[in-house]
This record gives sequence, C-alpha cells and structure tokens, in this order.
Amino acid sequence: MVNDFPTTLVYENLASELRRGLLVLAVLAECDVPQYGYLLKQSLSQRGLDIPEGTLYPLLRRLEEQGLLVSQWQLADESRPRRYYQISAQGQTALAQLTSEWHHLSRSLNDLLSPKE
Amino acid sequence: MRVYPWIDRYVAEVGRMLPEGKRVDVEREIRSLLQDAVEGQAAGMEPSDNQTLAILRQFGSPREIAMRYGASQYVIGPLLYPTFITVLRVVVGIVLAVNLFTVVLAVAQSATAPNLLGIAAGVVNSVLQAAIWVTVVFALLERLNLRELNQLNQTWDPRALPAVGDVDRVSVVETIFTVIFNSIFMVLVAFNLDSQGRFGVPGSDWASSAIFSAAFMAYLPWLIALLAADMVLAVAALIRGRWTAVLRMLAIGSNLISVALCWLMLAGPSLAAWPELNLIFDIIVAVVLVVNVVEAAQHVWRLWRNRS
Repeated sequence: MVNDFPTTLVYENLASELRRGLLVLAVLAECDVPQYGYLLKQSLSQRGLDIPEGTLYPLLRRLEEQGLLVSQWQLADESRPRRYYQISAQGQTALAQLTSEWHHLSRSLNDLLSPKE
Repeated sequence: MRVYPWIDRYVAEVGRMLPEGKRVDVEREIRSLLQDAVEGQAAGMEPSDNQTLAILRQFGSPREIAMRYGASQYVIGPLLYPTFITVLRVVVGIVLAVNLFTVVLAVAQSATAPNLLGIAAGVVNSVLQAAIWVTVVFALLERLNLRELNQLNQTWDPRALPAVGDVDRVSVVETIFTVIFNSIFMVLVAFNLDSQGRFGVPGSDWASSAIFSAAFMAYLPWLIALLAADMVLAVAALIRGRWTAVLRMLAIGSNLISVALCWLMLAGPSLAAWPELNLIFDIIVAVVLVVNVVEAAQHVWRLWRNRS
C-alpha cells in the first residue's frame, strides 16, 4: 500500500525528533557562562542550531528543575529584569557524560552510515 | 519603560492556564523573553504592532506555551477518558430515556394541552445536569490522579508488582457499573424527584402522585452522599489499579454508615407514599443492607489477609 502522507512533513517530524535529543547537550555546553534566553537563542542560531522559542525556553526551566542549570534574575537596561541561566556542578557532570555518549554515538553512526564496500 | 499591550494580553492568557505555584515566575520570564525578542527585531527603533504580533505568532499559541511550562493538557486525561465516555453515554442515555418515558406519561395523563416547551426545557436540563455531574466527578479524579503521579517516586520496584489473580486488583467492569448505577440514581432523585416525593420532569407542570414518603425524603441527602462516596472510592481504586489498605478502610467506613442508614430506614416510618409499595421498598433496602454487610466483610477479610 502506498502511503500518501506528505514526505516533507514526515522528514520534518523525524528531523525535529532527532534534534530534540541533542538540544540538552547544546544548551548545557552553551551555558558555561551566564546566558539569558534571548541571547542563548541567538548564539545557538549563529552556530547553526535554530531552535523554536517555544521549545528552548521551557527547556531551560526544565533543566533548572532537574538541577542541571541554576538561574538568577538580574536587572538589564531600562530596569527590565532578565533571568540568567548557568550550568551547575551537577550539570557539568551530566555534560561530561553526555559529551562522551555523543562521541560514542557519533562514531558508531558515522561507521554505520559510511558507504559499504 | 516601553508598554506592550499585546505582550500583556499574551502573558495573561498563558498565566491563566498555568498552575498557581509557578504562574507569577513564568509570567515574568515570558514577558522578559518576549520584550527581548521584540526589541531585537526592531533593532533600536520603536517596535510596531505588526512586529510584536509576528514575534507572538513565532512563540506559539498561549495554550501550547502553557503546556510546555507545565500546565495540565487535559480536563480528563487519556487514562480516564475511555471510562469517562462509556459512563457518560450510559448515564445520559438512561436519564434521557427515563425523562422521555415520563414526558409520554405526562402528555397521556394531562387533561389540558401540555406545556411542551417547558417539558423540553426540563428534559434538556436533566440530561445536562447528568452530563455535568459525570464530567465534574471525572475532572476531579483527574486532578487527584495528576497530583499523585507527580508525587510518585521515579524509581520503580518490580517487587511491588501484584501477583497474578490478586484479589486487590480492581475490576474495570465493576467500577463502570458502580459509577453508572450511582450517577443515574443520584441524577434522577436530585432532579426528577420533588420535595413531596413526586416524580416528574423539572420545569413541566406535571408530576406523578407521591411515590416516596416524607420519611424517605429526609434520608435522601444521606443516600446521595453515600452513593457519591461509593462512586469516588470505586474510581480512585481503578486509578490506583488496586484496592490499597487506606481505600479499603474508607470503603469499610462507607459500608458501615450505609448499613446504619438502611437499618434506620427499615426500623423507621414507611418509606413509600402508597402502602402497596411498602413491602417492595423494604425488600430493596434490606437487600442494600445485606450487600453492604457482605462488602464490608470482604474488605475486612482482604485487609486482614494482606496483613498476615
């Protein structure tokens, strides 16, 4: 049976699923210095990781609830407060483990995806 | 400091859907993030309404954002939904059938032209009350269930798995039967029975002659409360998947109060307004008394067996 579900939509869903898993690693790595949401989004975007606001910002809170990030409100210009997030000690440990896992996975997948002889 | 009416509206809408504990903090954070995004887009100029609206569109609908920040997605979640729909269909169906039967009687017995509009409004009211009642009970159970799920320990112990054929396991069919029977009884006595013990359609000018005595009507609030407690306990056990010791003790309490009430009803003045119905009503109450004694005994035995 031919599945007429639009191929681009299937691709977009799969690609977004693939990126979602890596997002935590990217955020933890980028929060080695205090970052507020908008700035973090910009810096990830400049590195080629364009993450929707609705995904990135709630993730910051979730990571804080899990103890991997810490946050504090600081007054920015025009007396507007911004919430700055930074990686915690527990987050550093998780980042090191996730990085090692990423390298392992990356090697395995590169091997799997390389042209077979 | 700039004012952003569209951001204010958006933040208020998200906040409305968030749990109270985190509402103020999340609102403050979303406001700050949106202002950053709008000002970043305007690059030093005065942001236009269109720019602000484009940023809000990019953020996603308030509902979606609220869900991602921890708002509950459902009034009645996937765990309870199939049971809810089954119970709703049966309860609404039976309440509607009883009401339509009463309408036919009303039209047949009325000497004057019946007030059809009033009767139709009464039937709709009764059916709506039944639907609302069932929905409210399930929505409350959903809230209780969510709170418990949030408190659950993340580590799961396979040794806590119940044995095959475990007597504490809850029967889904039995629970659905309890909820359906109790809801129908509660809706019919609460909305179709007037204070003189007459049965009719609310809003219509017709009612049967009195069926229940004043003595029975005095017991009615107790009966409704006990049926509600019985129903809530049955569904709570279904959510937990098994009868816990606390639920069993609460059920024993409810059974014993029911036994006492049945005993009072049998010992007191007649329950029926027609003497011919007295024996039937007494037999029904006696059967309910025996069922409650058996249920209480079952709960006590299973509690004792689990402890030993």
